[in-house]
Amino acid sequence: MIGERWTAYWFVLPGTFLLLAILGFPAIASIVDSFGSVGSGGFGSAYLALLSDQRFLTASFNTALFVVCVVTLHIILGLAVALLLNADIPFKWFFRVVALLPWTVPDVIGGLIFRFMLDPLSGGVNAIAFRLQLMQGPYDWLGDPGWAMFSVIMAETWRGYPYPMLILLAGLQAIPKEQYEAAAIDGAGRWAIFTNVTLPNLMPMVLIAVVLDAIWQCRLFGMIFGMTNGGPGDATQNLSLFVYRQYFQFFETTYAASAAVVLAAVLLAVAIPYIRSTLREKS
Amino acid sequence: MSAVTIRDLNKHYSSYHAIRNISIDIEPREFVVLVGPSGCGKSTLLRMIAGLESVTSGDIDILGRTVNQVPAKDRNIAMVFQNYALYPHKTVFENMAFSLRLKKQPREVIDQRVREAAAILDLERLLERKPSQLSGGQRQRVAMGRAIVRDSKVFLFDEPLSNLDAKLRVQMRTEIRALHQRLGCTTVYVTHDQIEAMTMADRIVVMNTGVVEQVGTPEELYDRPANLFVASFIGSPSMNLLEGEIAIEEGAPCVDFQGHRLPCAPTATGQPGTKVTFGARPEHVHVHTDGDPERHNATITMVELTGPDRIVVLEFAGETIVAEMEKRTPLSVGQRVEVSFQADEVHLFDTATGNSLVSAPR
Amino acid sequence: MFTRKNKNLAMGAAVLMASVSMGVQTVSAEDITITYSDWQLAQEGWGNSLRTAIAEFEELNPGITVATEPVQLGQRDVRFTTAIRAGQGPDVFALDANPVRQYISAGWVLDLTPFAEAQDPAFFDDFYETSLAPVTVDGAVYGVPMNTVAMGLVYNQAMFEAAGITEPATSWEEFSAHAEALTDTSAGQWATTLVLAPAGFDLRAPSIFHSFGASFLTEDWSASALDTPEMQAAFSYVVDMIQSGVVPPGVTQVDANGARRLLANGQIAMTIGTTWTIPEVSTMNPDLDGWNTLRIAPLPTDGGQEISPHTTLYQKSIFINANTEHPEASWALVDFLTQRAQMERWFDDNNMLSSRRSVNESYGPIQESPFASVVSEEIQHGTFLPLIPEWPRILDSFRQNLQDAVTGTKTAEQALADAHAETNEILGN
Repeated sequence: MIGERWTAYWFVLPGTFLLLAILGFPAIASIVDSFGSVGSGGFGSAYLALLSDQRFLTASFNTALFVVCVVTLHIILGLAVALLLNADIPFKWFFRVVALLPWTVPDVIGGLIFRFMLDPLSGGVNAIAFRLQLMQGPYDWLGDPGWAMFSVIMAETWRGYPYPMLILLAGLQAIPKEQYEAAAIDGAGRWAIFTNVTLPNLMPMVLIAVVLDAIWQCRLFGMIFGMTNGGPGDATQNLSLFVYRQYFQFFETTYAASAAVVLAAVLLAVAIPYIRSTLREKS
Repeated sequence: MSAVTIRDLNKHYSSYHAIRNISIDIEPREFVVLVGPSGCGKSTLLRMIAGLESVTSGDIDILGRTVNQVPAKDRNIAMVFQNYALYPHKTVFENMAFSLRLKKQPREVIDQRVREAAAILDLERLLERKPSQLSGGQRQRVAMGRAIVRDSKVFLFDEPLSNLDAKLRVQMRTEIRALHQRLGCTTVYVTHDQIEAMTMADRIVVMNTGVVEQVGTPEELYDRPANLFVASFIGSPSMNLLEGEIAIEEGAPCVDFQGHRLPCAPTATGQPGTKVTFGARPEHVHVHTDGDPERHNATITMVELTGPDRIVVLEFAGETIVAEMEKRTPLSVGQRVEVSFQADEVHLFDTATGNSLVSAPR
Repeated sequence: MFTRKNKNLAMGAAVLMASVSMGVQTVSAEDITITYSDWQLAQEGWGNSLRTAIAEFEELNPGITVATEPVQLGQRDVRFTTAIRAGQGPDVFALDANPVRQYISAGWVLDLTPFAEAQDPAFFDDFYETSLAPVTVDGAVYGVPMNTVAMGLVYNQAMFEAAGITEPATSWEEFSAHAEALTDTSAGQWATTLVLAPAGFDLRAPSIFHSFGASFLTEDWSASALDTPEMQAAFSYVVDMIQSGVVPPGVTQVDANGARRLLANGQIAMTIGTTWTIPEVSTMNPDLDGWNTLRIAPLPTDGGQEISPHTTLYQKSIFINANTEHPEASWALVDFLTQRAQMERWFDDNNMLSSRRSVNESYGPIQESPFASVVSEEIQHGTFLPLIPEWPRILDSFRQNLQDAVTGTKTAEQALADAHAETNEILGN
């Protein structure tokens, strides 16, 4: 009915307007700014400069490495926890709350907490490892490029897993119980049930979780900022930190905007197929 | 040795006593139907046999082995679910082959057995399709194919035809019965439809709120219901039940219903004055139009044609009764007629306990 | 929650807020509120000192209220630049020397020359020439210098005596020997640390480089000078020092505050610091008895030679936001904070030298303080870091390369060469 459609549009209008104002306007301004000139170059010189900037390439590599590792670990950990939370155990509500707690830690503060834990002299990790006699002397985890990246990945794996876990849990709960029963009657043990009933039914949800989590992790800023601030050197500097540094520390607005546009373009490339597939399902 | 023995079985869900002290013996190759209204526990009982529900007390023996602690996957039974429970991402072939693959059967054996089952169930053209591409009836057959591919001795059916339309249901009933005769496996079949039970079963177990009301062949249940519940549950249209008292007439017991003297079965027992319920199946309500004063007066309120027969709804002494008769004499709504009953056709129940007061078989 | 008592409280609060806002409007037009933002408001000692001074200012200027806004040092530029770009920001704020040229070239601060000369044509004569250099562009002065100090070596005399050291080192070779003597990892004691995190990096490591006679850029700030033999020697020295184990582990995350904390806890014996280090460290750990235990000495130089400049200068100056709606009131605050009386207070409270020559040379307590006299002497041997807009980026690239050398990702030579190349690239060479 035409009248109903107009009503729908009126309802959506305020939200759309707000989104355009808060997100759209700065986004467009940034995109326009990013095509400005940098140094002695002309139109679009910022993008050319990015390609030859070793720090930008390192940041891109770090972002990719970080996203791949964290998302993979999130899916594995999230699936494991979702399976546990889906089972019929006493006090299920309690475990569900506890499982969600890491997500409630604000990202910068979480980063600072981890940094404190990993502090060579006064941090808990070294203290425990020393007491368990795993090491002789204090080790500077965040001072080593490899270990710093490892620590950042572990920290974000812990903090961010509830998000994909909830998606997978919803998917698990949507699996019809009878399939499990039929598989049991067919003689399937736990592993056979997992690979033949749980996983195949869960695949669409795994895909959704991967896409959403990847987009989220590409943008990650606070946790790394609090934990290592991109260091040591630029071993843990991802694209978000790179843009931040360019904009706020070096006051290079055009250069920062161009890096931000590149990041946004990559995220769009990941998001668009996902959006199209969900729209296709609906129709 | 019986195929499935259930001894003093109980099932509690927290405070809810779902299965109460049930004992049943199911013979090999027998087709037993568990029937009853919703919530009577028939599905629960079936699932306990399958191993999908735990036993609170009592024993379940399958082929002589007590299986209370045996997990479902080791009981070697086959089950057909109400919602088919097919694996959506596997082809029809793989759905049926799954159990054999789990047992690591060689490829040739799997292939042969699946194709055999597919031939029996007319699924050969559909082997490469996925369940989402099949109709309801086809899916049900795949579910059955999955069951018969295995070498199990006990088949369980959990209301498999409930999701099908009426015509398909009738057709599938016949097919399942034919399958049973061909394969000869012990079958336990759950349904809420008493017509299915009557047409398919060797023996029927009528259940109500967790207890067994009566176990018997369809004839036994129909002709000699053990209590009011079975009497009204079995048979469609259901038995007419009239509440009255035992009275003595000419030295013989009869039923006094609103002043009408209705015959008692010859083997009925009971003291005069006992509150009883008189039962007569619709086909045993004889309608006369010749005005004989010995018979009881009634008025026709509705006439329905059901093909070869007629259902006549009558108002009799303030109660509504239903008669089933052949199409012969013309009858019309509002017409005054007479009804009569025969002593060897009627039933008698104690109103308080519900139990039948007819002792010996006829 | 919605008890009668709570409701009444809420009502009362609402009425109070309404009347306060109305009250602000109905008071005479003279009443102005300006905001003052300073990272040192967030520090305990300095914060109290500033607030006392500002309270005095408000008494002397009844129509002006000053709202203080502390800000973390590492966040300062982020918050200021974001606010100023949006047309807002604090009316008066403090900056160190690092980003000053950036603020000036972006037009974020007012030219203060008219205000100063209207008040006194010789207003700026009392300030050191060196102090005015960072805040002056094309003859226009954009900020009034408040405190100027030079970096030196702050050391724990008690720990020195325990290690048998009588005098602080005058050459870096001697320093290395002292460092070895002062390091005892089993007792959790190290010789020194270095600040390699962004907050506070600019003043400490670069001071060492200056003391080797090296500098980051050429004299005219147009090209990188990181390829000189002096810089290579200095760079190698710093990397070796860190890798030799005389600094506590975790050096790549140590910022200025972290270094002070290590000194306060007795975990290191020396650090690069200046007069402010003493009160800060003493507040962190009163048991240390910092005023009596700590001393300041000039930085060692390469081979003990006379090198000038051999250290880095720090300066805090006060600026007025170009967006301000109350320039006159803001100028009054700027003037107040940099007057002689307040300069004396900054020393009394915080052990900080003044940018006014007259104060440093004639104020008794400064002359008598063992800390202040040393640092005051060092000011003439100090230099500011390059004052160009690209400097923050150059410095950060250098810092990251230094971290790479320290962690072993690159060799020291490679790291320095990369820093040299990147610096030239940033400068457009």
